[in-house]
Amino acid sequence: MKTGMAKIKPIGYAAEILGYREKTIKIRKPTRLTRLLKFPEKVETQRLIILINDAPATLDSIVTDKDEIRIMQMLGGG
Amino acid sequence: MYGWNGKILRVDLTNKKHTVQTYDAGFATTYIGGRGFATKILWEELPKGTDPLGPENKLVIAAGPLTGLPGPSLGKLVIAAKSPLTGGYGDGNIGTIAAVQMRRAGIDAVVIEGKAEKPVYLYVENEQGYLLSADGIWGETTFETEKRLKEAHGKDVGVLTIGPSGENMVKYATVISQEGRAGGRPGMGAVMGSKKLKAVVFKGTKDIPLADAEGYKRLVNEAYEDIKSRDYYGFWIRQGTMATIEWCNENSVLPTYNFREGVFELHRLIDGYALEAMKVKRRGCPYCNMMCGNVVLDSEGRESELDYENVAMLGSNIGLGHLGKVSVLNRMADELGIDTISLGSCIGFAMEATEKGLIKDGIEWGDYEKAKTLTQDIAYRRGELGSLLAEGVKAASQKIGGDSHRWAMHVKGLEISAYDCHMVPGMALTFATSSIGAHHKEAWVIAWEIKTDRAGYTEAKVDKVIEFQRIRGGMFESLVTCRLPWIELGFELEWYPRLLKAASGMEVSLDYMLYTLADRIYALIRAFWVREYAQNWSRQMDYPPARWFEEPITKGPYKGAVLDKTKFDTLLDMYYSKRGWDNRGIPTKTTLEKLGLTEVAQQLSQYVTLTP
Repeated sequence: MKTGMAKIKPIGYAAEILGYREKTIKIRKPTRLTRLLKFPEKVETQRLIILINDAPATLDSIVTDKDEIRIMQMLGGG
Repeated sequence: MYGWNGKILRVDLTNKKHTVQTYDAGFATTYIGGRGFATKILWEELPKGTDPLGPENKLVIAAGPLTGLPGPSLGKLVIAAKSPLTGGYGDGNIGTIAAVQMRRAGIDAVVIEGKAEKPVYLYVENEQGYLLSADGIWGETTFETEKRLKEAHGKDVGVLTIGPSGENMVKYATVISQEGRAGGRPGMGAVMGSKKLKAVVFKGTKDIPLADAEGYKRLVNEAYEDIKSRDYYGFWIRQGTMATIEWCNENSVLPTYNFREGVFELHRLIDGYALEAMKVKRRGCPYCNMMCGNVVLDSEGRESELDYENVAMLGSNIGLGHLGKVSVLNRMADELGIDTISLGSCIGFAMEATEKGLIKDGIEWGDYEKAKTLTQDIAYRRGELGSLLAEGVKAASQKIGGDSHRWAMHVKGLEISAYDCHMVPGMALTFATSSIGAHHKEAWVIAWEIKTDRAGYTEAKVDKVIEFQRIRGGMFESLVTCRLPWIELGFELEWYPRLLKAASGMEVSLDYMLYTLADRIYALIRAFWVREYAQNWSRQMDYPPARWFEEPITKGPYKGAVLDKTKFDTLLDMYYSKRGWDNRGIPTKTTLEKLGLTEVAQQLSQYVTLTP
């Protein structure tokens, strides 16, 4: 099976809790996002926005190679 | 009555008189406080056509039934009047110890009318008002004025003051407190200036009557703990609203070069991490345990209180990528008493007009030194450009002509706050339908749009805008509590009726505040606008600027994006329908009657034909 790379780009608070601002991960087969992201228990993940290739996604979404995943806090505006 | 003091101080500057008006529980629960009180008073007491800068305009300073009590972010008040910038209803909220002191002075609101013969300030102590000479402080900055008034009346008093821009009736002059707390974007400072009222000082020593003091105390302690337990709390304490710079740039909504673009090449130099490197302390509203005011030392070594809106508008929107310099402009605006959002919009407008040759000897993008000079010129209405921009971008575009009305970034005359909407139609609808002109405080739906269906023009978006308006623009603005615990940290709305019950003893349900109170306020504010504009009112008043429909953004992942006019019209139709307004955006007779506004319908029908 072809091995591809997915890119994960958390910003702001999401980058702080994941510990990186950009990371590429080998994807051997379609994988649930939740297997790729390890959040501390305290994090209210429902208050995060997750986008895969700019489309709304969830931690249960499937990631394949070449996908770009962006993660950010659900901010409330100034 | 518990919770509410049940008293409003009435001050007549012309006749140098004051009276204390009492109100009953019926009025209290019908309008709650803050914006609710202000809306009711201004609708009933300002005849159509009132000159916003004339003595007959009334300035309402109103708190809510929780104001002045311990509790999460409860130390706020609303300042409202007919706006000299928009000609419609205007208000703003401000978090300040003045709110606490006003309530401890035994009153829930002050209504000021008339015009003083010579500059004065109003000193309020325990239900009594005293008009004192403003000799020696008229002409001073807001910082210096507050300092001197505290020297005169004690360091614990609460002060609301205007700066030179308010005195000179700059149309977007604000009211300032505590060196950086600002409120009243649509020219509430100019209204004070027109009345020759330099400041209002509050001192109170009374207890606010509580129905269940012990229960309230227990509840508040739980509420504070709830907020501190939220996972985002630590990051919020570090960056506050300044985290929004990076977030907005990442999502192509950061206002850049007068809202031409949504990304700024120098955003890293003005973002929350740049803030953290410069931060010296935090400030905020009384009783807040998640203070949002981040204070830095600016490029001139002075303290400047930053948040997202002022940094975006005085940074990326004018092409200035240097947080120390942005902080100088922000601090100058606070000292002079100018709204930072409108100032950033006006400077950005002038930069674009210069680029396009509509203004000679104007100002180039990112020109910090000229921006400083221009800020002073606006505040003092000096020179051709300063005088032009002191009127706001709408009036400025009408004067300089060309195609500038297409990129004068306002709705109803109020400059748009710091979110580019080329690619977020729901937020464009928010700006279009905001009660005071283009402002974000009532509904901020960008995150929700991105999380669900960013490009869509859907009924769900209309529902979300109205839901947020009910919560933020209706309930929070009437209780006069801060939206940030709820929207940023997830502090549940159910806390508020519980707090209100413990304070007042009254069962005021969440449903009542969201679906009756809030809708009544929105209908009444809309009626105020329609009464003023009458035959000149149309749905065109609810359109965002042409730029977002006509000029695609040229940078970032959403290059090429513009709003679709036809689809936006569909959104607007859905919005009107759900609010019970007709296709002109005017509440129907049935809607007004359903909300208990039968007399409003009768009066409004003198000026426009109401749809049954």
